[in-house]
Amino acid sequence: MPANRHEPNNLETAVMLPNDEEEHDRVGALLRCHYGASEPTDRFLERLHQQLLSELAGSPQPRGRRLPTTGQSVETASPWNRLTRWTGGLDTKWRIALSGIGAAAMGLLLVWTMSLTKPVSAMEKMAAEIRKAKSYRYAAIETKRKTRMTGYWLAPDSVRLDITDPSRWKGPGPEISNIVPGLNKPWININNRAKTFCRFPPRGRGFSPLERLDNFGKFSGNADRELGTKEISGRKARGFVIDTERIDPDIPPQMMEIWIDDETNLPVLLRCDRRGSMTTETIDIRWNVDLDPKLFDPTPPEGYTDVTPKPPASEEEVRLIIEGLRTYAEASGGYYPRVKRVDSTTSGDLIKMLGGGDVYLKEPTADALAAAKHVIKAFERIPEAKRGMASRAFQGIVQIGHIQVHNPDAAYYGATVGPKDKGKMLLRWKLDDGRYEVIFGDLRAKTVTAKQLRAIEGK
Amino acid sequence: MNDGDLIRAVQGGDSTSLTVLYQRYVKAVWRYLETHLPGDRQETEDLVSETFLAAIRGIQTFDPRCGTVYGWLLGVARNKLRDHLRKTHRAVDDRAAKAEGIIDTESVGPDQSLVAAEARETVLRTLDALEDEERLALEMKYLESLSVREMADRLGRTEKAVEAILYRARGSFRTAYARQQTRTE
Repeated sequence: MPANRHEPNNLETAVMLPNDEEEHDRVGALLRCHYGASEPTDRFLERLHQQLLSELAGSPQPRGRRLPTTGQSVETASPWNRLTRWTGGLDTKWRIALSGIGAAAMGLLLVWTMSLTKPVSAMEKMAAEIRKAKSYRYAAIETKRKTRMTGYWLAPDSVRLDITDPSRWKGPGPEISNIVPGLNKPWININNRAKTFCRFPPRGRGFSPLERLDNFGKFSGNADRELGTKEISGRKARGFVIDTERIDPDIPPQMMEIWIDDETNLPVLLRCDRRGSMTTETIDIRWNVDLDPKLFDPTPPEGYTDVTPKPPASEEEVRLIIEGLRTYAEASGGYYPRVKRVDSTTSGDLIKMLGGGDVYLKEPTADALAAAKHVIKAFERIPEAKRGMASRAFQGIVQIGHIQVHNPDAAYYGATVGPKDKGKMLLRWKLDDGRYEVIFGDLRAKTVTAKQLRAIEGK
Repeated sequence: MNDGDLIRAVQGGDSTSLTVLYQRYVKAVWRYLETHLPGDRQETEDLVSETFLAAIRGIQTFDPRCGTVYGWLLGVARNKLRDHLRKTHRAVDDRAAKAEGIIDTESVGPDQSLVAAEARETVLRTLDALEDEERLALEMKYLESLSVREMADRLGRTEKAVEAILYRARGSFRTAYARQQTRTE
């Protein structure tokens, strides 16, 4: 293949080649290289399949719709409809009599079915008690690294999990605490060793430090094996073994030993064996205990450093974008990227305009390392004094592209708006709080409401 | 059986046909959602599940004479994705950036997996710009390695018609890709 076909940017020229055979290869290569790299797991596929089949079985079918495989309508085929069609030939007196007999038969059937119901298993009793629990605390140890964990849970959604690796931290207190004050409330990670804290956005669903216990709460049926009875912390307990795949197919398969208090039907000891890779023994589970609400206070200790990652849509993001656009306009001789969508071409152009090399590879590749080396090389051709500025400008331009891809309400008007268009909107995107961030042609930034945005757009 | 027959059978309650349709399209829907939610397998699983469950719940409203099954499923997936991004776009931005290694606070220069990541985005946008039928044809051909005959059987078309769709799809891909890459000035 002639070399000049791949210059300057091989990716685009590659798919514009006139030769059909080559074009086949290029389209296929691009798709295979950049699209659909991951596959769903068989387990996920099977679970969803079963869900869909259940949904189909439970969904009402339209009356009279024909099944193409048999050519017979559902209405005609169902036994119920055969019965109703048959009873349709009877007079009212007979229908009443028949319905009375039917009701009596149904009642008898129900009594008979109930008498056959199997006795509730120990696991089911335990599940019922777990669902009723108001709180628990437990202490656990991971036997390989000796990591100690203490968990606290207070209904409905307050959670605290303290973790200590004794090879790194001797105390006082735990090495790390994760505190979730409740559903829809920000939670915090406190690292006493590093004297830092990090806040996280609220969790969208419930959380339990000992999720396996939640899963046991959903369990029905019998254990795989019974271990008999023994005394644990002064209480008589019965032991069982369960394959965790029976509880939740998504958790790593392991055999779990569980000991249940004979009196309360609640678990008092768990022992998990992850096929030799890690063994965790959970001890001293105490149920329905009084927990101090201060345990779930997400206030960080005084003097600790906040290491919460700053969200990209902060002032810093706006600053980066403005810097990127300003640098681009200066380098291009007075215009912003004249495109509808900012992408790799735009950022690659910026590197070139600042004196760097061509960032594009000669061939499409999934080899991230090769791609990395190539871009470093292109970037390092920028004079050293300019590299810091170029790096920030580059990040700003890339960020515009990301906003366009991931924010459905984003719009960029660089094709028509330039640095002299003071009042015209150059870029806008929606913020989490429903307002919009707007950057104007003269690179002023403003946060506006939806109403104000409409007024700006109307200009 | 082609897609139209299968849909009508599912509408009548036939579970075997549902299984066939599911196996035909679940990976395509997965690819579409996974590529828009890079690096987040859990979210992809959730949205794929939501898409298929919504589809099965609304299956009685789908008329196979008015559109393809793939187009319909992709439409449901798009709506689910749009709702999801509206709710979480900030978090998705974060994760996407991290997954692609674009925001790397420790690096001094632009992160180097950028080329691969942005090329992927360009391909993604290009595919999004294609007609559903064209997109499906390319996916069947290049990602599922189906023969023209197999594609024809699935789509309920003749082999010649499928070849024409493929030809058109490659042309559309080329044009859309060039448009993505070229300045509009």
